Amino acid sequence: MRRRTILAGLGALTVVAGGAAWKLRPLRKRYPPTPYDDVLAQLDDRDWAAKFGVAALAAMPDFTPANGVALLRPRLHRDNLRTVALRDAEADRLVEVDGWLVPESVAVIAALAKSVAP
Amino acid sequence: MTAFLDARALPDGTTLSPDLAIIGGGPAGISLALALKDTPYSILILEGGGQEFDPKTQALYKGAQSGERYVPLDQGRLRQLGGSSNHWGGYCRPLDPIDFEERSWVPNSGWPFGIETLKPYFPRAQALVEAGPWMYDDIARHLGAADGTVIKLGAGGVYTSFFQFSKTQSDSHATYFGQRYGADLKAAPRIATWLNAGVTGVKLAHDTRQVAQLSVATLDGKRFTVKPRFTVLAAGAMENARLMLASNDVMAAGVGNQNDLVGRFFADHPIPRDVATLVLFDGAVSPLYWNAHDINATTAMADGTLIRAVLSPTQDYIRRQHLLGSLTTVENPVKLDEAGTAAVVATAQALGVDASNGQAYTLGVGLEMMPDPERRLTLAGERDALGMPRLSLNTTQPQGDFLLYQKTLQELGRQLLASKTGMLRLNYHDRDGWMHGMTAQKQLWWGNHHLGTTRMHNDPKKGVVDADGKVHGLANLFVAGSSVFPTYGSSNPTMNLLALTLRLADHLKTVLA
Repeated sequence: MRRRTILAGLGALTVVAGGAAWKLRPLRKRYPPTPYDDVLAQLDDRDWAAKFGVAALAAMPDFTPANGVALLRPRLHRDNLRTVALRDAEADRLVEVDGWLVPESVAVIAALAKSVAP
Repeated sequence: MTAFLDARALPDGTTLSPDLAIIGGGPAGISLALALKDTPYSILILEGGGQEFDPKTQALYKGAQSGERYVPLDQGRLRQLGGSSNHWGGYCRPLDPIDFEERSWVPNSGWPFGIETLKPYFPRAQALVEAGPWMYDDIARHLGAADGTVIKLGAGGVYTSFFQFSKTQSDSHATYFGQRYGADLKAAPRIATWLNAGVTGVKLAHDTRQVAQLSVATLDGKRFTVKPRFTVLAAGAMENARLMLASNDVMAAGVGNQNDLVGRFFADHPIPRDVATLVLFDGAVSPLYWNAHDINATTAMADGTLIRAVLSPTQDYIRRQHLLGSLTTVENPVKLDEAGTAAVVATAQALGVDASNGQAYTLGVGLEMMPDPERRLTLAGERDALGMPRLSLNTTQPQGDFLLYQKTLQELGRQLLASKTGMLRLNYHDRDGWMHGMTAQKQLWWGNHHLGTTRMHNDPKKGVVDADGKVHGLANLFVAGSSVFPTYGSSNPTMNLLALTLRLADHLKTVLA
């Protein structure tokens, strides 16, 4: 196969893949921009997090988006949410939310999701 | 072979003079007698009931209560040959070494000896309860593929432990000692088992240093006397205390009660329901955690053994966190509400775990109680049909015991998250919840494991019996059974009290000689 043919094939594949991604974009729910999107981007599903956030806010009466982000942002700068949540559990940084024992980072990001939910 | 003897057929006023009288024909009394059957000594078992349940006999156990709601005193035990083994669930698990230790955070704790003293007797006790080969916490090593696996937990203070069950060989119920060992009792030429023989008094000699005789009565009005060289009270933690307190004709406080300890420190295992909700992200819990799972391990030593996995705090964790013992059981599948589902989805996605097949279960628990001298049996004013004063039980259940257990649940929840296995919801936050559950059907149960009323301690001011089970100050009166447990652990008592009884049998061989 000639080099030109291979490059043409790869180019076509990129276009198809890009097109598919573009077509799927509307399926991913969009939210109004917030100053915390870098943190919230760690959530696969903000809606479920926001639902849990109702109870999380009740469990953390002193919570504000600003102090929540101040807690999470430096940690999420180094690691993703999976790692941060796991480290919370390992280090016994748990919050009780409506009886549920959850990693502190989960409670905070859920409260944040609820706080900025439209 | 000798038939069982019916005390109602004895001529009024008869006097019997065995070497050893055992008051009570339950697991402790039967096992003690059989352990001594090959000695040259004559042994009399005085069982207050017959071979079968009889409501009139059972009514002798009625009593009064105050304090916390507790099982009516005539319902949590059985007055018949085999005693309360006739309704036990067969749960067996050895006490843990820490249960024997004096714990600074548990006032009045500690046995006069460690678990090493009982260990030589565990194999025979295990054989008596027919719970299969001794495995318990080694079971995980013996599991076959068909058994499933234990819940994966992150490193920490809670681990999967195991019950074994009496009895193992395809029977539908646990070992009922009267049925199971009746033929052995009858075949023992020096053991006489008297049924319907209610002991109503332990009469001390005038010097108050030894038991002179036992007064025995039947419901049809017969009275007779037993003058044994030695006596063992093996009638359960309630009746042992009742007999000692009621036998107050020579010493006003009762037999062995010179330090006002008899009847105090009553304990049981409270069983609050639905204490937590366990969610396993990947779905169904292993059958190991359900009732009486028939182990499928290919190893021959495990053949037919019934087991159940439970979640227990490690001894190290108990020691570091100053906890009490507990055995947490997986109970029933439950459906989560939307708030619970949101908690699970949000947590699972944060951990990067798929929880789409997640399943929730309620958890139950059997708890160790803090020893409390005010949780006690005393004599009530009313008398039963044999003329014995009835018992009155004052039950206490402090909030603090529940809060200590909550720490174990919190640790379990943490370990579930740290292993990405699941998560936990704490269902109760006040005393009312622990005691009464979420619905009327979910009230706290009790194990009917009567403990502690004739506690063991080397110091007569702190215990009713010494390390050999001998009542302080009396040369020829001993106590067998869980009434001597000074601290309780969370394990079910039957197999443990049998080990202690077999140890007492060895001691009696020397003192009877």
